[in-house]
Amino acid sequence: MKYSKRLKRMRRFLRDPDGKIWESSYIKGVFNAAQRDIQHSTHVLEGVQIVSVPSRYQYSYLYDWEHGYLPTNQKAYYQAFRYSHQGRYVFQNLWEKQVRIGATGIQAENGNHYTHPWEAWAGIPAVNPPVRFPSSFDQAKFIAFDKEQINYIDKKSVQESDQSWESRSGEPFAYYRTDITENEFVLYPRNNSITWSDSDGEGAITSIAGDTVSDDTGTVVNRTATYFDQDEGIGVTFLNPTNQIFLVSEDIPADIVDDQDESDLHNFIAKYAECGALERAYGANTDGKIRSLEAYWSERFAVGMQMIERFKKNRKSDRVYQLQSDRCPQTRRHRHPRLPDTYPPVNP
Amino acid sequence: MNELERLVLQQIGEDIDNPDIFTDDVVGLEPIRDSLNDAIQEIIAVTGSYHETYYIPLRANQGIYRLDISTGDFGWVQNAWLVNQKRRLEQTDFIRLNRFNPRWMESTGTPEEYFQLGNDVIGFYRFPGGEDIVKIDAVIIPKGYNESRDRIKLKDSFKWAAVNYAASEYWASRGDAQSATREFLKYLELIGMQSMHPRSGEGIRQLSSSKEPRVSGGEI
Repeated sequence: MKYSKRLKRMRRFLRDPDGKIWESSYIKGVFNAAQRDIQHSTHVLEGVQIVSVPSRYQYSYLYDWEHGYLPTNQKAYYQAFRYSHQGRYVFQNLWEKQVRIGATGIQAENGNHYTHPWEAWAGIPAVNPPVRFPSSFDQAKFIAFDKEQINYIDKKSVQESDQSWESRSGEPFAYYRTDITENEFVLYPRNNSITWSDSDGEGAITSIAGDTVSDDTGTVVNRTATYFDQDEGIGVTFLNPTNQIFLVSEDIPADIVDDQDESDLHNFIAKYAECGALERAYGANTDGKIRSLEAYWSERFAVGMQMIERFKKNRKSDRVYQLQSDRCPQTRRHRHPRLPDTYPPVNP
Repeated sequence: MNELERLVLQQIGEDIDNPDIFTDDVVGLEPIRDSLNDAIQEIIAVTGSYHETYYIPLRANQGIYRLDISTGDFGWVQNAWLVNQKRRLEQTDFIRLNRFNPRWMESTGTPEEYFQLGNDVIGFYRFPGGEDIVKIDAVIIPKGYNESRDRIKLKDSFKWAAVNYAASEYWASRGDAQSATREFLKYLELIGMQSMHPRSGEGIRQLSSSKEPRVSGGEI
């Protein structure tokens, strides 16, 4: 349901169809706040994405000041090379920094630098490239690369165990984050090769056959080479994790910006954001402040939270739970290979 | 005007035969229909009282499917039946799968279990080794109805709950919080929401057999 319809409904409940008391921008703001409250309370919004490797960035830039001039309708920007935050200059190789101060011992560095992350796989990179999370990402619940789970590891652990951590390549088994603001992570080690399935022309890969890329982030790819559509009874899209990142995450619902936007929440759950917005509107210090209606919509919002919890519980209703006591032998249906109990020998 | 709409108008004291506000057309009934649709969606999300059946053709080595349900929002799977193998699939989740087999996505063969992710994704363990069909009964939270003749996807016993919900919103839109609250509490009673999260008595609940001695201080 488009936000314009929700706005009309909320105005009806506010008895302010012409916006004489509550401006539309105010209602939109409290609706967005209520959406976030719902997610923070219930964690109901879960994102499931295939994230392409290499990440597809829409623009690269060098200096911090350039960021303000990047197109506002796109989000995937990559700050290339190395930026000196206090000196406000950009350099590629470490020796450039030394030459700048007249040092004689030149720091050697293996590998190339690049302006777009995909170029890292065209040669041997000096620094492994980042991968973007989707813009709605909040927290990771599960990440796999090429069908195998990879775990979070902090930089400290990586640096303690690996001298070549910045450019290590191999089979990724972990990921670390540069910082949270950039909404990026780095595969550790970097995967050796990527699948150049298709490309038009020369230079940046702009399209891969059978894939669609989200315009929103430029990174999220759904593999739709084969699918069924509604004419077959149900529309189905494959999420193929082969050689890509399979990401399950807790998401943050995107703010409504335009009246034609739709909430990321389920349609029936977004209704509770309306209740939260009405509660805030009736509680705001305006000529329309009415405590009894604020209390009514507050109760509706609270009940809505319970409804969502119930809905989440229902999603597990087909699970088979078994209770066991410690006297029962434990059954292992899916066995890992393991050593015999007598190995290694236990000293008395 | 359908039966539910008539009941709502009666409940709020509107003349059904000659309504002065909620005229019998799409525009006139829009507020009532919005409320009834919201009620129907909420009731189904909580009770799972409406489902649709889908046959999903499985493709070899494709284990994760995003479903595009055009009739509403995907709720949850009630039953998953592997047609060729003639058996149910058990529900699981990726946390459990990771515990048992960290390489579970590389395992192909006949699917044994399924899991749900996000709003609309269903996955299978093992990834199908060949082609098959899964029949799923899924709770679908339907899109709202628009016309008087559209089918109302609501169990009869919840009819009055939906009416109370719509009446509650009507009174709220009139600024009468007291009447709105009264109707809303009736709605909660009728769908059994008040007993869904009962306050549990303090105590440690335990299970035991008659062969084991009772543990004093606990509830059996």
